[in-house]
Amino acid sequence: MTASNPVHAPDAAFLAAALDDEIVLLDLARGQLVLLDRAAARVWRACGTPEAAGTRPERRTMGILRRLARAGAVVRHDGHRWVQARVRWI
Amino acid sequence: MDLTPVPPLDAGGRKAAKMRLALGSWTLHLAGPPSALPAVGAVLSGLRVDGEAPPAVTIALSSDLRSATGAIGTRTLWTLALPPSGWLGAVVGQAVATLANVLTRLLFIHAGAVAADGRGCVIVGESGAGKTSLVASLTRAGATSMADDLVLLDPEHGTILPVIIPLGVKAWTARAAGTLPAGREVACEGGTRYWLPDARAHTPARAAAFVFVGRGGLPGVRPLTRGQALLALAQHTSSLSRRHRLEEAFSGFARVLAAAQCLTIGGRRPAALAPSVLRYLRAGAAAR
Repeated sequence: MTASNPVHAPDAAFLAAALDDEIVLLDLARGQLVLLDRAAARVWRACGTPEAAGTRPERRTMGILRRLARAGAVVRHDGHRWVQARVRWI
Repeated sequence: MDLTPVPPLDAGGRKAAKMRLALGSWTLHLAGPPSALPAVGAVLSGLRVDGEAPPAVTIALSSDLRSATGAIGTRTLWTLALPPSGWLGAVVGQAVATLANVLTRLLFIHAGAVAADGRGCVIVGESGAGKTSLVASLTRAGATSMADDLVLLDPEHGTILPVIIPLGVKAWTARAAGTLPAGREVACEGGTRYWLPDARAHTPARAAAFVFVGRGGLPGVRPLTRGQALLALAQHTSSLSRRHRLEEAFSGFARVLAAAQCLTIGGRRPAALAPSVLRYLRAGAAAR
């Protein structure tokens, strides 16, 4: 017996759960979980904030942002500004 | 548990019987050879579903025990070829998988569970990783058995519901567990003994701990972050494997894990670590 009903998520690309200092994202389109450890969660939370917008990410942060982008958790906006993908917190 | 003979199923003259199992709010109808049904009934009759009422399921075994079908009403859900040896385990596993598939509110995990001092502990691991031997060892060490194979969680209340299916003790499980906890054998087939421990939980327990049994690695009990635990749950068969329940399973498991202690155990004999796991569980109870 299998179930193949599609997941409908018109308003968000991810569901997000904060567990301690970490964040787990559920990619609704792919049905995959993405774990953001403490460092990645901090970078991800800062995406889109005015503080982050005005600064150039340091090298380590840039590496984390690229990994987050590969997972679809952030997108590059206007060529330089990183913003979070649409999420719905549980 | 009623066993009612019905007219012959096949030209060979072998008769079939029917059995109705009232398992809390779930009804399971069984049909098949009279020689086989008592064993299926004995293994499944302790299972109890509370908290929602899944549709009644009928499992019919062929007269030669070579196949089984599962149905809801007239809708066939599955057909399964049965091995000559180990058919009982296959039927029980399929019954449990069917229940897991028809649940709408409760969450399930392919796992074992025990309770100690009112704290429930879910034991997750791949088949053959040592879940059953760890459940047996924990039960022998003073915990009560809550589940083997199928764990049901009530996400609303953060509790583990007792699902009493006898421990399926294979030869390697018996070797790993050493002495089995006090109890009785309710069936034996295909080299598996179905062992019902005396110390069984009858009421829900708070889901206080999740223990992930790895294969190999350094022996010992180590803490796991809750985020890692949620990710690890997704690697095993659970409600998270059911695409149509993904969102609610994610939310439910995250909610339950947020209030639980998460551990991982390594080494070749997880059962040997039962005293350490119990110490963790009891230390958590004392700290509350």
